[in-house]
Amino acid sequence: MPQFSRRDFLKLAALVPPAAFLSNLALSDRLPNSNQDKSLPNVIIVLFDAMTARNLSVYGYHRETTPNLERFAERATVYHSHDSAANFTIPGTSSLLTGMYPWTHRALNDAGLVERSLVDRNIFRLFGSEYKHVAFAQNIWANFILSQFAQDIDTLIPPTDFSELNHIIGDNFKDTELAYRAFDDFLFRVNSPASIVFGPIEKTLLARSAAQLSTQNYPRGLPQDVNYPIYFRLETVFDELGKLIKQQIDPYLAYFHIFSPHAPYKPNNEFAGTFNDNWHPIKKPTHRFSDGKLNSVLLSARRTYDEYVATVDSEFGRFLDTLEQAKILNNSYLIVTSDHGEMFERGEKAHVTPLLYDPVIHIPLLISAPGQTERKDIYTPTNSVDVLPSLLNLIGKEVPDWCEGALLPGFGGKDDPERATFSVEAKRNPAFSPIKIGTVSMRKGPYKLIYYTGYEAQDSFELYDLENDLEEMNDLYLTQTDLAASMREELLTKFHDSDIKRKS
Amino acid sequence: MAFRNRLPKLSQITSVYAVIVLMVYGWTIVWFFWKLPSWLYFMTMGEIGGIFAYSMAMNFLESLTVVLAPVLLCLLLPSNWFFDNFIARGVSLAMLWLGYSMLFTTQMQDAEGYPKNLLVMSVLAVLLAIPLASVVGKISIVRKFLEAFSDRAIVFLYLSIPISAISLLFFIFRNLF
Repeated sequence: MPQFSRRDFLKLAALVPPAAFLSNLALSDRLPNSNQDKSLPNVIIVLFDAMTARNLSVYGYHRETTPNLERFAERATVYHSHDSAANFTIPGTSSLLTGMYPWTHRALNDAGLVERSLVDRNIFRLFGSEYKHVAFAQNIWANFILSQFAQDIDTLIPPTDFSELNHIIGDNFKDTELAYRAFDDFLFRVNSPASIVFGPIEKTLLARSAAQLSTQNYPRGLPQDVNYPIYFRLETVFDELGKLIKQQIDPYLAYFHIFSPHAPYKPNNEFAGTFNDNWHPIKKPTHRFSDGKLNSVLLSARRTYDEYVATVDSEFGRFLDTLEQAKILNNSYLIVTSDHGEMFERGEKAHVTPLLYDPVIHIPLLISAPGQTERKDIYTPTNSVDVLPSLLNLIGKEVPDWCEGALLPGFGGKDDPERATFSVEAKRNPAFSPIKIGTVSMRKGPYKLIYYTGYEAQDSFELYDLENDLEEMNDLYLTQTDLAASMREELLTKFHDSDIKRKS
Repeated sequence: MAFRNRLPKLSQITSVYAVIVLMVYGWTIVWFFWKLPSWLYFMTMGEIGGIFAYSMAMNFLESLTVVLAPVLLCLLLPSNWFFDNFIARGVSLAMLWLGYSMLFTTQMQDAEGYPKNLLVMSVLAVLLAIPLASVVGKISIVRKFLEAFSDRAIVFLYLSIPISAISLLFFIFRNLF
């Protein structure tokens, strides 16, 4: 009989931890939760960063930027007046995932976070253990938010997965949230690293790798994150997401936050130069709070953005084909939306702005129900805080009373002309204090009131009728005085109430 | 000369290390305070303390890496090039290296805006720094100044070493358990 020596035992014992680790890696994503209920529909949320509805042909844009979204719209409910609750990633994503406005969840700042006492108010927790939760945010800021909800997510895919090149250090540590902050946001930050020895060495290696990166098919370079060294190919990202979806066990909630078409705009060969059509959108006066960019700069940026949107749409089309071929849409809700818009007008480019005009908050929302074959159009104003309660309603869950959104018309909600929705820009305020400098826009029926506070000695307002003046050229604040007064009162009451609620 | 006899004394290495600590930790701490107001907008004191701890742990590794350079040069070069007057030569080498690194860091934008001209010049800087450090050791007034300076810098080690030790423990604890 062969002897089992002490040495053999030690060898075997040494194999146990790596084996356990590997099996955990391989199986944890695919094992069903014990409570998973097969009769429930899957929910897939695809969020495109910085995609304004105003530049999408599916919403009537002059350039044909989104033929694939138009194809998808033929089997979906299309929301024509859907606003984001904010004008950049952190608050926009947080509102979508929590169903709360920025003044409540307090993720107000660049790289900010949801109020720590509110992190259990998230979509993954609310979907419960009946669902498997898989999440991926290519935008590291959005991933900061997801990291806060990590204990409720079964599979949180690192933002660097599916990239061609990345020099993200935080991914390599167990304590990823703090590691991202310390290493990627501070010690090894792309510009001005605080690490004086390893920082320059790491950046030298990055520059060398970036220079060697093949840019085949992308004449302006590979798509990349704007703040962090992550380079990717859109086709790879969508291929991998398609594979990931096919591996999931029903029912699941999948949340995919795609970085594109966020700047820098990198259209592929097929679309670069497509829109050299000399088309000029309506020229708008430069706003006093804008960067004062020249119209020629804005026109050029808009054209490249449109080409990048078309590139993204084309890849989304392939993703849609994958889902259709695998018959995944037969038992899944597919939601396409964005976290905020993008603007090329009034002297402002992109979305880092105190302005809350339509292009920067008007985002797409298309929802395809399982087996849906007909298009439905909804024109009622809706907001990104409405997505969470509507999804909870669809899967038969109770909507918590703290949720600030309402059910979407077409998915259990009703047209309510008296309902007001809000968008908030408040990045210049501490998350722990009342909002003193910021912009709030209130949408009610066809009207939109914009409130600027703290920027100048006196607060100011603008009022627009979006039904008859979508371009927001005609400020009605001084002419429609009764309407302006009632909307102003409602907005200010809500604004001040939110602070009182926060304190309590 | 025996291998062991070519190593500088621990007290000499400590003096050089003190200057390195002053520069490496000082640089990070300056950036830390530059970033602090924006962090205070959305991070708790605990989270900011966590970043500080990670930074100090990294600085500890960096400073050890830098101090290895003069020690290695002592082993590799003839003793009258570096071993003699180790403190002055080690300190001047560290100051030249880290000073150049500071210049390099401030020029950095992104992967595309990488300061390639400075990278080419780094080879030159390294080639110049070693003989320069060697020469500095022979100039009496400079040598005395550097030795006096490094001697006074040792006081920073009484702060940096315990902070680094706690930070390392914090880092290990957060990433292992």
